[in-house]
Amino acid sequence: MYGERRQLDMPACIGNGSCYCYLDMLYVLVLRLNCSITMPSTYNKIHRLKSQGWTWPEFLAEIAQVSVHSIDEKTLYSNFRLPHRKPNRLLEETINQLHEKYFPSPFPKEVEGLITLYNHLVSAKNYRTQDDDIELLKQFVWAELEQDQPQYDLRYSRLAWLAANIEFDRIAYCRDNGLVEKLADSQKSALKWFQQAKRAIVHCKQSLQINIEPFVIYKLTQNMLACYLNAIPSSNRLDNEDLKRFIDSSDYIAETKQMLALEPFQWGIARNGLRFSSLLKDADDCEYFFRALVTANKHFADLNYQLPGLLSIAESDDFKWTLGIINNKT
Amino acid sequence: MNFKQRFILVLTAFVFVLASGCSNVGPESDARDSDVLGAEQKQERAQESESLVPAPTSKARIEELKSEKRSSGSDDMERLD
Repeated sequence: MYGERRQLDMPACIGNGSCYCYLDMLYVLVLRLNCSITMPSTYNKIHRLKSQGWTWPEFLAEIAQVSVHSIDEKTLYSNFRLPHRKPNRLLEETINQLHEKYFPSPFPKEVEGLITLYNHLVSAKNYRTQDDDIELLKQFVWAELEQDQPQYDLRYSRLAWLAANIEFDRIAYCRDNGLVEKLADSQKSALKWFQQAKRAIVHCKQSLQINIEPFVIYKLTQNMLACYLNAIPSSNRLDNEDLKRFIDSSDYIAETKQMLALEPFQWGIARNGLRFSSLLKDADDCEYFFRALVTANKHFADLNYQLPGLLSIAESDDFKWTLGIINNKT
Repeated sequence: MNFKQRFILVLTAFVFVLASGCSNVGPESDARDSDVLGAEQKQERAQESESLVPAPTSKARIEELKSEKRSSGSDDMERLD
């Protein structure tokens, strides 16, 4: 389904310049993968769609319009209710299509395709030439950015985002393997590209009056913060000066509260707000974000509640300071 | 002595040689066999006991992954696309 949509978009997007030869090849790969973008989660997308005011029968009717396969109400509802529930492929693809219909990405589709391709490349197992291929992709993206620099449009922004992602994904590896210099380089480069991406988007929104959801810009702020956090082993994160400086300069806590007011179902945002309030030892914000987390989903009232690939709040070092406060309140 | 008698004589001699040969090597061979047999039995018992050790359950694997996560210092933030 995803492949078909991309196929329709191809002629308008590619084949009009030598630099697109590589894109042609990548498109073929994306089509072969017939993949779907997994982030943000299906849980968030279902909530975002539902928050338009749809009843469940209306939701199912909308699904019927975009998909030939039917999805039963129980499956849809359980994926709405349970953040830890892994959606099946059919539901994930259908929700992606519906989400794209009502909340289309503002970025050019050919660059979205590159991001999808990179996500599959970086998460592939037993891929012999993975590092070399990522390096090739990085060189291509950097070359494109150099050409685009004066334009400062959404294409440039998304390419810068991809360049940042490539560097970002190296941070944890460098940290765990004691590659101090490479860690600093990757962190610096990721931050630079995320900042460039943000600057370009803000320019498009303010000067060109392009409608861009606040969450798109917020994601970049959070990614920059993640560049600082992930570079530090969890045992050294408490009271870390770099983190404090960035949080103060970026107004992250205030932005996070605004985002939660707009989309209270975003448990990931609430969890990260709680994490940084704990690391900065701010008791009031800890209370605020814990309440927001439980509002997002009541399962988080249990501090041992665990989602696949995440430590529970009770287990994670980042939340140690806040545990006392939460336990006292509850 | 006709051919039949000669044949019986040769056959008897062969049986005698065979019987005496077996009686000479018997005790040592038994000992060696029992050694080999004992080793085999021990190996079988070891294999049986190995097979009785429970295979890692999914819960154990989850714990393993958690401890890997802890040792790598990571409750890391995922990037958002």
